[in-house]
Amino acid sequence: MEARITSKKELPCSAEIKKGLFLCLLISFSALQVRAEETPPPTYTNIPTSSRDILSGIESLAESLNFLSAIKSGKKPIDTIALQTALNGVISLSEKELENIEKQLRLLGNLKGDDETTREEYLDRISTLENRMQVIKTSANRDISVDEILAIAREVKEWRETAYAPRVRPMVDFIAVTQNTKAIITAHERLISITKDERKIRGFFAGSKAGPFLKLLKKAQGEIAQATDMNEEAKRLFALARAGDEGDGSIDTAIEGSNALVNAAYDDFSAMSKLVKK
Amino acid sequence: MNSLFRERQLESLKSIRPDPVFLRWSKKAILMDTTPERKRIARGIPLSAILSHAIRPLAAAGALTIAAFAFMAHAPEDISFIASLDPQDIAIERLKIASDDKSAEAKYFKSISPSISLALTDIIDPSTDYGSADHIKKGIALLGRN
Repeated sequence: MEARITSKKELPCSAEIKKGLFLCLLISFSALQVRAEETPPPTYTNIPTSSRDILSGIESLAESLNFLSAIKSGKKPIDTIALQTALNGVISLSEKELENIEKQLRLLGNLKGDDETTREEYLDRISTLENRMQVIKTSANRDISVDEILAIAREVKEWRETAYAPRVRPMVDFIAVTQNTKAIITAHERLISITKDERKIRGFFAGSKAGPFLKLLKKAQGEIAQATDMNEEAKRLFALARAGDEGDGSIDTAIEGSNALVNAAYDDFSAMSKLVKK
Repeated sequence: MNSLFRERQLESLKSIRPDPVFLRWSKKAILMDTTPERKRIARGIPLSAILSHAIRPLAAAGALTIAAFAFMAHAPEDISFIASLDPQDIAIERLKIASDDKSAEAKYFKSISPSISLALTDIIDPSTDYGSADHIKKGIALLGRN
């Protein structure tokens, strides 16, 4: 009987412990949640989807450089591993960049005439750059001294500045111009099909209600025309750059402007669609 | 008895005017009827009577068809038939061609390439900190900015 009473007395106590444990868990869980809210994951909205896979490469390079910087600020002698890791980070990132460009060149689909020749030429260039990269990678991953690492790093720096970047940059421009041309063609086709349906749509609207629709149509026409002009300017600058002339404009500024106008035309298409659905 | 009944039935058939029930028999069916009495009766019915009964529903059907076409031609357009303004098509197309900034790749090279050169300078010169890690981080932040 006594034993029973004792056990009965213990019951509220264990319930309290359980309650306490539950509260602790709840508090730590909500603390974790708050922390998660404080540090949102990075978003890369301006980076094209195709390039997002190389971001991990950039981030790990930044980490190894941070480590190098810590050693430098501690005035400690630089160790081989820290240098080798940072150098490998640069090599690996360059490799990823080339892979990404190659993928994008192939994703351009069917190209005609000069464009196809240009693409083939660029794919050959990529293969040459990749071969050179492999040679550097092999030599950087051997059991080598600090001086040897520094020599390879110098070689990579010179190679990136004199061979890699000047060869890669036109490829990037070519991809941008070609993608933008395709976007303009598609937007233009959409505009033509809407224009073909104009009479039908006018019939649908009663009297003055056709006004806003026609205004949007005219606006989209203007935007696509302007986007085409800007893209032609980008093409002209690209041709000049290919011929060795730097030109006085920026290809990416022209592409950016043209792309924004195509987006604006699509805003108008969506507004027209909403207008007729009302 | 049977023959008397048959005679009466034939007489009554002679007197009826062609009605819609009667016209359900096509002329062919009437003529194919093997009973000679029926054939005789059918031949006795004037063709004009059959035609007038046959033409009436045909004419009505024709008029209805013409009216339906006329209505369709003047009826307001159903917007679901305007495929060029299909919101789903427009959204998909936009996602496919216009959502990514086409100059983003070039922006990446512009901001990251100099950082990588600086990183190599940091590796080459162990005595000085050129701050390439921060430079890269700033480059990433710049790319990720809305």
